[in-house]
Amino acid sequence: MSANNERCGGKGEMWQSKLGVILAVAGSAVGLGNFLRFPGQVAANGGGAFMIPYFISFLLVGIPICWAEWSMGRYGGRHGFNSSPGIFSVLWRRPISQYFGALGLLIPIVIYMYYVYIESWCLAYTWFYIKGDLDLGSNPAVYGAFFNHFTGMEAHGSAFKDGIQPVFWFFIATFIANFYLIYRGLTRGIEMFCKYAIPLLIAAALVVAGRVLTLPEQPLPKPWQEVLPKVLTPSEWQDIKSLAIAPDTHPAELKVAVETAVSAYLRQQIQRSAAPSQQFAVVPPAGFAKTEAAFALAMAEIRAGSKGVEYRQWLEQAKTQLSKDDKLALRDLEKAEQEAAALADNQAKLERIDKARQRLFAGIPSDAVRHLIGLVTGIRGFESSLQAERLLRRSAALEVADLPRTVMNGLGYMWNPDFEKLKNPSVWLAAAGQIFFSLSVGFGIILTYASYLRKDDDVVLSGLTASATNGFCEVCLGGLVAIPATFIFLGTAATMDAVSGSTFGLGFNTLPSVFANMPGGRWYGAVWFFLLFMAAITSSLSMLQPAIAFLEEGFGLRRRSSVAALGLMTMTGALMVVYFSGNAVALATMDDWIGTVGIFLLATVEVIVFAWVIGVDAGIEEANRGADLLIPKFFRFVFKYVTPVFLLSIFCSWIVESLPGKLEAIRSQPEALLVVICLVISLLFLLLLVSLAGENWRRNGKALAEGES
Amino acid sequence: MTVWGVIMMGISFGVSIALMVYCFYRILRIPRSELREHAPLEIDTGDQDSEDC
Repeated sequence: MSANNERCGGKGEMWQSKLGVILAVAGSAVGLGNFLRFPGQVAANGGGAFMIPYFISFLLVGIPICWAEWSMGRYGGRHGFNSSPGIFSVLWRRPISQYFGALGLLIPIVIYMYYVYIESWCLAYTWFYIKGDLDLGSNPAVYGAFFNHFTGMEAHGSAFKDGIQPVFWFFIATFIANFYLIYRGLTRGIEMFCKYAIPLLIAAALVVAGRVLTLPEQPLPKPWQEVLPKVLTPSEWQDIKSLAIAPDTHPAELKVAVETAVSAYLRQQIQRSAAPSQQFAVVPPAGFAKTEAAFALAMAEIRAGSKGVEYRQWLEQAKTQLSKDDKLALRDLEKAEQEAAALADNQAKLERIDKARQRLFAGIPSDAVRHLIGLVTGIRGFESSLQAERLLRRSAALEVADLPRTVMNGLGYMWNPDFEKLKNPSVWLAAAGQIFFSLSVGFGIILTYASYLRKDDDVVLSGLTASATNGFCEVCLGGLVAIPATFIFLGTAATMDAVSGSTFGLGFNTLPSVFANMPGGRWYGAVWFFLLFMAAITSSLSMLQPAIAFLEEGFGLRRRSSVAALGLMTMTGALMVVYFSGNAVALATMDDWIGTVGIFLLATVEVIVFAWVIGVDAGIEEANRGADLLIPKFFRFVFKYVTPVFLLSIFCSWIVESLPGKLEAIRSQPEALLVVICLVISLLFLLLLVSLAGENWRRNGKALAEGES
Repeated sequence: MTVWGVIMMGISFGVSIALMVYCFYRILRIPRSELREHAPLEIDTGDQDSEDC
């Protein structure tokens, strides 16, 4: 190694190869969000049209922050620092600067505390699939019940109730695996692991994507009004029918009765070792049919007797007569209605949507519909005929819009663009947010990783390559599996439900039911969750290195001591996440305040330091040193104005839209308050450690004395 | 899937794959650039004490 290629620090660890560092950074970025969050964001925010703000955000937010982090990290490494407090202290020679770096420790440590728990679910699901324990039939609700039970979302302390539950052992195994790899060090641990893990996860994703893209067309399921009598006992079904026919029954009462009966059926399915019949796939269907309004319609159908059958025939007629474009239009109207329902003062919009539906149904004779409307108006709570008409049209539209379940229609669900959505600022914010979270910028991880580069190693092309690898995994692999597969097996309504629900819902409830439908699904499920585990572990490993680096360079700890200290610290927080598992309250609180607010703050600080403290010209020149690709000149303007403004806009919009809700969550949930208090104490503790480390650096001559500038 | 759906998916895949292939091609195939000859940058941060290490 030539002297020119050595780090100024000289003694510390270094990456063994350029490919190693690129794969490590890409591994840090590629995570669950690429395969679960991205598809949901695309489908919910204009389909293919979402990719326009996505690529613009990549150019104006993702790449600039990425280059800034790589350059500042390498600069800090040249001065013998690998942790963000140390790196900040040489980038901006003010006593206060190192304290900003405390954020670069807090963020990865806290995110690790909950991420490792999620990671352990992926490991557990892989194991369950290999053993064949996750063959629970094709109903997402069954997997939802299993997931809630397994992860302890039903109640706090579930992992320790009635003895230690399996989830805890998977958590411990995952925790140990992470610390074993981090203990092996930068090159023998992280770099070596990522060199195998990234190609392996890409191969696994290609295998699953290949399976999804070669699936044959799936048959449409029978309506739930037909399925329900077959899965319930005759006496249960008779009770439900009697309740529906009774004149005073409110739809909410029927809903409770059906859900109780279905829950009993689902519990039975979980306890069964054999897979249930696929004939009774979705009980009850997802989406609109979960509402009281849908139960009012079901009541009307039961009351209508043979006229109810005529309504079913009318639906079939509508399916035949309406063109594919009409059906796509009906689907878009349902999406618009779901969005409008969340808004205040939405009456005019809802009326427009209903009129558009009326126009689409205009050519189909509707005697059976009129009869059913008459019956709905007799139901408590639905006395208005106008309300009943709208309700029926909406329900019918959702059933009619269920296109043939082919691969092309599945891809279409995700990628058909709705350019109108681009007028909505929230779509642009969602795209920027996705890029931001996906590239793992603002975590402080890239600062640390880049600090192990040699002083003339390229950062521009390396940063771009790591980001491009992440983009490939997200767009080309993430875009082919989750949503198309969900559509093919579960149809329009369930896909809408999965998209509007949580990332966990799509990953752990919906997709297992998709694998249950798939030939060889057990093994594809194992491969899928193994790839998620690989994606997660390459990310969680990267979250540990900044703190390890800090403990070693700030207090002269050896690897064993630093790993032990960090292990103790993160285990304490992670146990809090495992214990306060009811509705994932600890996990969600940490994700809100650190995984969202924290990373925006750190990214904003980094960009301001790069563009305004170091100076944009000096910063870009530093980035271009040794570069295999020069940063284009127009990025001077982007670094200085566009990226900071973009970040501040996103942050302000978060404050306006989400902050009141988050504060209310803290006020109303004592556990959330406790977590926030722990986070504040952790921050104060880290600030104290940074202060002590700063003293050590000054004593050792690594930094300027206090007050000097 | 509509024609626009195919177009948007094709462009998104094309851009993502092309960017990744280009980057890895540059990383793995092209010899290191002459830019390495640049002199170290002087950022005026006052850290002259560690400049010579």
